[in-house]
Amino acid sequence: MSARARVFIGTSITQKEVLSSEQERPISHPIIGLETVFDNQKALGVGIKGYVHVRTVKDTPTTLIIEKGKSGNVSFEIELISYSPSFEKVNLNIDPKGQVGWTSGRCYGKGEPLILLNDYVQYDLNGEITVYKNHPIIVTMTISIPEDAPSFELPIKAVGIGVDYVSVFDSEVNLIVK
Amino acid sequence: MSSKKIVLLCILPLFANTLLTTAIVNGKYSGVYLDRTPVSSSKVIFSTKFDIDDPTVLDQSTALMSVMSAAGGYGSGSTGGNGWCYQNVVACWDDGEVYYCPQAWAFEPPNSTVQQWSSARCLNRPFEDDWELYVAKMNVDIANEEIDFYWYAYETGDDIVSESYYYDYYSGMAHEDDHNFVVGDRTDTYHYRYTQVGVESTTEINGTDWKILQEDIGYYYSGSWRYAAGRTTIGTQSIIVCDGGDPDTAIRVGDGAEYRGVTVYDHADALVHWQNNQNSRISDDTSVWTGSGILNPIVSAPYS
Repeated sequence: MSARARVFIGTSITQKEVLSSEQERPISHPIIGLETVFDNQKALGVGIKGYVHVRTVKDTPTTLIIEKGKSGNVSFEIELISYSPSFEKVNLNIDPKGQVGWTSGRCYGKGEPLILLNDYVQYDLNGEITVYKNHPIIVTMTISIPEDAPSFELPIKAVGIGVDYVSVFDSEVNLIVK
Repeated sequence: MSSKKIVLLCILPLFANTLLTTAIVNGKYSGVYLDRTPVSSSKVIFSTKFDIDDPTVLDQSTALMSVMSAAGGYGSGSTGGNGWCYQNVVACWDDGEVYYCPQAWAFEPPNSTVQQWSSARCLNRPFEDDWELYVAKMNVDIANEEIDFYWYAYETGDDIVSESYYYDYYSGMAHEDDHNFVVGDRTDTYHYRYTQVGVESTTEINGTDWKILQEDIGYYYSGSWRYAAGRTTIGTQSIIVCDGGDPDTAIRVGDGAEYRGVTVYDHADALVHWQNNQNSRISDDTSVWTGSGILNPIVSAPYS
């Protein structure tokens, strides 16, 4: 699915929801803060029926050291937090090499290569995924570092995961490649 | 200081209910617009630094934002007829963490301003160093009908010298007929200011001294990154585009209120340094710098 199609899906769904119930009410935030997202009543008050929470699983270390030629894993739990009986599922698109979600990288100086985390990442789930409320899924990111890769340090983000609704991504993991 | 790493990704339609002017961002806003005859540009850019005495006054519901806004256009010399605007935000939030927030806005009849999409992502580190430089760029990707957003973060002065940076990228939907950004200004029914940079918050940030530096504010034109003269654009006057409909609705940046207590601390060509100052205010359409020409940015990668 192209990035354009992905965004259109998300936009049309969200607009339809709000047009039906919130049309006359001005909203005062250019971006909704987490305080609002996490609060059932505040969230519903601004038309948010829930959110997708992407976070590293419990007991994930804050630093992941991977030697060249080896790989390491980070697992994320993806959960739909629903505040509305009508909000029962949400779609994700997982594609680290495509234009889905964010891209993250590091460059160590003028003339040096741009190192992209996305280039080293695979997930055990790929493509379009549906997440239902009360049924969180675990997706495991495998970071494989080739022998000839440069050394680098980079915060690990859940790159390449596109969500067609409000989402919160938590990650405390820093990657060190040496 | 919080060290949590959070990405907030949201696609949220927002609505305003005024008829002839409507806001695309609902925050207190004061900025600078590029003062020149309108031209088409494939990409726009600015850099920013934060200097905050006590970032802990910021929380999850209050962000101090440095924002660039540009109107979409559909052809050479166009003056923005689609009513879509694109914004690139670098902000301090949540005990001084920094986040990026690309956004697209449009007017949709009969009387709503709709945020087409918004995606925000906190970086994995708190704001710590006054040297920390963020360069934010928007490119029009005609083939894919998207706007490409780029960020380059330089953590220290040494990183700026060596050009060592963190890189982030996000691609978002554009209006299918937007083939460029419009740079400049034009007066018709309203005074349209098609490309702006400024400071914005949901509520004014008081309780600590802060400054925001915005520099190397430019647009790509005729093979070079260029800058034009800069003039203030405040509150209700920050009209960025119209939708071309009947009535012809004007869309402005911010909620129509100036960012009170903000003044220009320093300025130079393609540079404005904002400072909070409760005893001062600036007037709309005041000259900040008068020069124009080719940019000579402090770092090269984002401008390549």
